[in-house]
Amino acid sequence: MTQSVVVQVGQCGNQIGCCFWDLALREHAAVNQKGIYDEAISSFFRNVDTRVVGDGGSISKGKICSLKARAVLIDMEEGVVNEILQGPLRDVFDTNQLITDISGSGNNWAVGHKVFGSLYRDQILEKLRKTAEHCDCLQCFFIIHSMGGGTGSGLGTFLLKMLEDEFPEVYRFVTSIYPSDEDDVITSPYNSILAMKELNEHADCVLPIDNQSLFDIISKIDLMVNSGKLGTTVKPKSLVTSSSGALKKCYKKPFDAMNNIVANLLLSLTSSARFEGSLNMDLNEISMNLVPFPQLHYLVSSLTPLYTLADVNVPPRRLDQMFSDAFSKDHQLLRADPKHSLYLACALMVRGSVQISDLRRNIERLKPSLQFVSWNQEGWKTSLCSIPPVGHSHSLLALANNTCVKPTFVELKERFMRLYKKKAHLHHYLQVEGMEESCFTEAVSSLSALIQEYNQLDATKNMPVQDLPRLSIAV
Amino acid sequence: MSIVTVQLGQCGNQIGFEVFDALLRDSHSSQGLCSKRENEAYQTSCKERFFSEEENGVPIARAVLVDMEPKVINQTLSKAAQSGQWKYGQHACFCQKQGSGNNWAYGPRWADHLRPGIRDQPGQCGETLSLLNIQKLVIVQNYNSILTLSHLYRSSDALLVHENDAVHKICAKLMNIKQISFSDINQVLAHQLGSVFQPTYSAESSFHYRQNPLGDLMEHLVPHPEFKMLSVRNIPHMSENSLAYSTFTWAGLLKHLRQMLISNAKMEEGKENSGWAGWLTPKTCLLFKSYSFAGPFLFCNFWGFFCLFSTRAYIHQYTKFGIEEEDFLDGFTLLEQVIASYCNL
Repeated sequence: MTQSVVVQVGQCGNQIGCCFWDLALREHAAVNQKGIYDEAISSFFRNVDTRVVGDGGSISKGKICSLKARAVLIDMEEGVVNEILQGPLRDVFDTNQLITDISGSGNNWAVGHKVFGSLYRDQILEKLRKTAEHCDCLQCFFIIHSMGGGTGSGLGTFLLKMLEDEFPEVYRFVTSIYPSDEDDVITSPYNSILAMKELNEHADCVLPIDNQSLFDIISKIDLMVNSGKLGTTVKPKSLVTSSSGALKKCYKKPFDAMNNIVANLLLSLTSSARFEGSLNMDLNEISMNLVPFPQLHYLVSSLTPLYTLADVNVPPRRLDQMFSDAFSKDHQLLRADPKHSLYLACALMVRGSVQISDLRRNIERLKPSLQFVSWNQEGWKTSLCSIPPVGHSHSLLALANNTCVKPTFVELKERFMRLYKKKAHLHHYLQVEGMEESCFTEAVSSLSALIQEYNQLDATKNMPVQDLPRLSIAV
Repeated sequence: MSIVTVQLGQCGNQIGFEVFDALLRDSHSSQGLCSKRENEAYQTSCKERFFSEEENGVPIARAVLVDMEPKVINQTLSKAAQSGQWKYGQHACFCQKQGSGNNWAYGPRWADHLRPGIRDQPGQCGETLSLLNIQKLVIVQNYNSILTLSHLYRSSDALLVHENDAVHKICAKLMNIKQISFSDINQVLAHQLGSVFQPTYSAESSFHYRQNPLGDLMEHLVPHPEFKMLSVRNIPHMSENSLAYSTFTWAGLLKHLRQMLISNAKMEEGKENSGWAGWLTPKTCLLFKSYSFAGPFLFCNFWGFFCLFSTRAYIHQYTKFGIEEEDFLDGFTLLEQVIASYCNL
């Protein structure tokens, strides 16, 4: 069994991270009734004897004493991390796992990447090494950050290169929140494109998400919950957005509901690696099956169902609806329409009381309406995990390597060019030591090359499958 | 004479468990068409072949469990122990932590670590029968299967091929299972595999069991090392519920099998199979034949392989761990030769 370390960077990264740890604890508490520290919990948590001072308190077996998250929290302002440390999760984090500063990055990628990168490099590395040493077999770093700001975007991507150099065998999965159209940070296109170059070069897998899509999903749930449809009631705690407690219309903090969706995504992604099932899927299999070429590693995700109806007996029709929804553009966590674009590969990670025949039936049913690239017509990867998420009887996470990411990148590039042509706000970046205009031009080139790859793939849509020459052997 | 089973990966371990479970339950079952003396002789032979006896009477399966991550092995070990009827040996496992990530290239480095564990199993027989299970579950399957098949062809005495799709149909149509799980599929497979290895009467007398079943099997079905692929059909298949209400005779079962054999031959445009053996075990009827679809089956794999290989998709995942393009082409060449041989029949 392997372990993963979560590195949460910046305000957005830490707020999502906080939701993730809360949900992870609840999930394991629901599954692990006896309070024994087992391999499933050990993937994200250490078991520590708090009476032991210093570093020697790890307990590898037996009853749970005190769980500590395998996490490193990084922010160049103190506000968010301080709030976490005063909240209900304060005991889950080790004070040794935090790196904070006071002034913040001013929504400036260059400050996050160049200034704080060099200032905190050694400290961050030391904390990461410590966290890695506590792992028996570290398999993956999960980085959570936003693209549009300064710390998450700049320092977060600085980390990526460092992780690749220092821990080359460990996978780097990045959850990136992309700026929406109505983003309030003017320089977000600059920050995002500078960050994209790093993601292109140093990430194994990126899960792009945008706030607008998350918001639309929340609205849809609210509508469903409040519509009072005859004969349906939503099970409490079953919303993909719910944190502790029953249905809540207004959340303590504005982004809580949206962050919980991302937290659910990360838990479902790792469920088949942590829990048993009839068809397991480890994290290294995600990269292996879904990334046919190293640079095409952007995976659009969708989580269904958004809520569970209170019916105890779920007939196959409802189950099939879960599969259909996974491919609808309204359920994607990014503004994207995979059904009308081209699939390079698709993973279906199912949790709960679903069997192989259900999977087969639905893949056969949905295949005709989906377009796969000619050289990977059977590009499906599936997994079955026995343990459903809290409050659900079954759920589905779909990961699509699909050309539908392209519009997001194209729009980002356009917004960038609108600013860059006028050199607007550029001086804020260029005055940072180590920053030159070439950083910008290289970043745009990198993105343009990526867009071009997707264009070439799209051009093959609707083309007949080629007759491939066979190698002939002298018999 | 005993048989050692090496259970590899999630599939191998899940099926392996069902096979040993079925073998032991079957040998203890009171239902049957034979006399008490026949049953006892059968039970002894079965146990001796697949299990070794422990002090407190719980048989230990003659098996080695291999996987690159621990979840499935742990589950398999505990399921066996929970049955109370049998278990796996304490030191019969070889396990790593990370899993192979569906990447064939992870495997070869562990060969030296694995060899001692298998050699140490007592009572090994000389022949190797490899059991290959096929279903399209993984995108890089075509790459992995070319590498697997070519290596197995060189190292095994015979390959027994099972297609999950066919078993799925048996579950759906013959056994009327509505929501088919892997457990259902594995139990059908276990029934088939158990039938393959169960003690069978030798030609001399009905109280002497064959001493070297695998050897006899190979002799009949693998006349030439070029033709190693086998398939098996067994009947009857029915749900537990129907069993109580059906009657069947040996004559009827054999007639059914012969019809199955003939209808398959028709699909091959009248060409004869190179060999078949009918095996009568005390409980069920088996038809073993050379895998007549070896040609088309390999060809289908090739098509998928070529589609990916033509664009070099996913190759970077293999070269990272030392498998180069030449390795794929070598594997392909060997299998192309096998196809040509089968087609020339």
